[in-house]
Amino acid sequence: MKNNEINNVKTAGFAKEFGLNEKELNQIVGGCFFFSGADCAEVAVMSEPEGLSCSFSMDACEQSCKNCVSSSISITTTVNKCRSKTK
Amino acid sequence: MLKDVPEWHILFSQKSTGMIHTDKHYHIHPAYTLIPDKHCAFIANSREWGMFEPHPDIDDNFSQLISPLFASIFAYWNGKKTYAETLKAICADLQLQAKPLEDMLKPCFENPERIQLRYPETDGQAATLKHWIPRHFIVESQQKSERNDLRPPKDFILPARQWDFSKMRTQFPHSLSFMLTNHCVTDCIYCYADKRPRDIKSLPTARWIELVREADAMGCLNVDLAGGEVFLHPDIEQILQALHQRSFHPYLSTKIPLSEEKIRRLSDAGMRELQLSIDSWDNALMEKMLRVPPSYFPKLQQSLEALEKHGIKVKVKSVITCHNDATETIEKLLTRLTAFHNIQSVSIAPAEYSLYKGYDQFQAYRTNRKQWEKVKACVSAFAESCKSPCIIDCQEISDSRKYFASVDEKCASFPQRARCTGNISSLFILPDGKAGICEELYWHPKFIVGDVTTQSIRHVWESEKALSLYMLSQEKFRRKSVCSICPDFDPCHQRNGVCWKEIIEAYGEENHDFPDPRCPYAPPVTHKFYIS
Repeated sequence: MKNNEINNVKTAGFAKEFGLNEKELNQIVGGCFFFSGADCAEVAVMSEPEGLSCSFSMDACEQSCKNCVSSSISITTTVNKCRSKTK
Repeated sequence: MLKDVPEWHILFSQKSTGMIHTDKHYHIHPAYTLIPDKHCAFIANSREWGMFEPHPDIDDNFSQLISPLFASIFAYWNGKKTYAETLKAICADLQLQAKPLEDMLKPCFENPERIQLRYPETDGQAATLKHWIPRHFIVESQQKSERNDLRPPKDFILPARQWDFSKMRTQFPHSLSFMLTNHCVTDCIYCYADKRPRDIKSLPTARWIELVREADAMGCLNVDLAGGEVFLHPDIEQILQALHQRSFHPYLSTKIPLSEEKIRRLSDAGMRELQLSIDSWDNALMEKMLRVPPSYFPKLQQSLEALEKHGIKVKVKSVITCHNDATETIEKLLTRLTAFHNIQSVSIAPAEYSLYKGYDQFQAYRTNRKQWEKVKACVSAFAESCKSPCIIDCQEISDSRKYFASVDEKCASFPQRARCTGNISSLFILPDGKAGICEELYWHPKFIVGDVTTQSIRHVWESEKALSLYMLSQEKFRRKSVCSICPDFDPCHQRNGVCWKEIIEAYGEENHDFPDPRCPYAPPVTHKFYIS
């Protein structure tokens, strides 16, 4: 889709309710990037800026990169249900 | 009655083209949903997904915290407008530029792999958030299917100053387990349940049904029924019906021989599948392991035949002890089970430690690693040669090395432990209405956070006891416990959490404030609760 086609449309949306201005919203969306599979293993290590570690332990990167600073979890297993189907 | 299978089941037979067409309609895959929360949002499996078998292309048991801004963007994808129209609406409402928005969204369309979305927390902040997007997250709408169940984008609005991604605890329990009764028809030698006699007053059926309504109103994603033996509850059909009417599809596990009449009634109440525990095809062994009368197993066999007749899908779980771990015994069991057309899977698992039976009884019933290798080889060979479509698997014995690994090894593995959802996103209701955080801790007073005889589920979840068990006070940990001086105390307990059951198993009831035995700072375990 062409940019100008969309950007010409401005409505009374609810962007401001996020407490961020247009530039800030676009910087968050524009600043995101993806990793998957082998790319994740390679790129994550390469591009992780030193000192800018993720402080959230909620992910399950199956690559387990040696240098990856993020702690991770298995999202497919939860401890409290692990034996509920064993009785 | 069970709702008809939605049209979107055809999505599973669709092959992704990997192409996005601006004139076509797209929606979030029906397996997933978005949930607003107090300080963030979540992507999780939808309630309706519970009625389907796990699909190899879809992430199961998925729950991922995500920024409210991205949740709001994703919420537009409900299949009601074309790709172009949807993009236009997002740009207009959120004042976003099309190109970066499209670049951000494209990897989430028909993605065959789970992908990690990384983004700045808010503009100008150093922290980078890393959140997973499940497989096949946004898919092409088939036959004009729409997601009317998705919350509108506005529901995810949260001022950025209120965003907080450091706490995992959800605003309400996403998952509930109702333990309808702690009575059983068997007395299994390996049972992990706390069956110590108690003088309890069972919750009335009307209250269980009210709890189902509360769960529905809160937006819970999953309600499971647990026992004891769930089918011993006199009003099980009524409770099941209430659950199915609200699209909750509980996993039912049983050892009770069901009569054909009972099966018919349960089928009418919406039951389409259940798990049966059958440990052996040998009557004498069943009597010994389950401590049942000789008439038990013949009745269970009749029950299996009736379930096949009524088209109820069955998953079999077989628990292996030193009494039934001979390969001939297991081969016989597999041969007989795979002859049934409705048996979809057989899972062979070792009997593990029971907190309530203790060490001596565990030693008397457990199998050993050497024999388990033979069992695994036997199951694997059978599965390879078996012509039945039944899925046969053999579980591993829990790896006890995790308790004895070096500090370096534990430092690497402990942060990657599975998250315990107890009191973070799930709650367990006992037969008398007491609310606990884990089905294996039962009435342990330290982990009871409320009582639904006098409180609603939401009140229990927001109670001081529940919150204080999540936001633990380090000062209350005894000096004897290394947790009392640990610098990682808060993130350890508030993110992945610890396994309280394993702590008690490893160090005893009196040391429940010790570290998780997998923690690098944990002292050596003092109780042998694993299979060596």
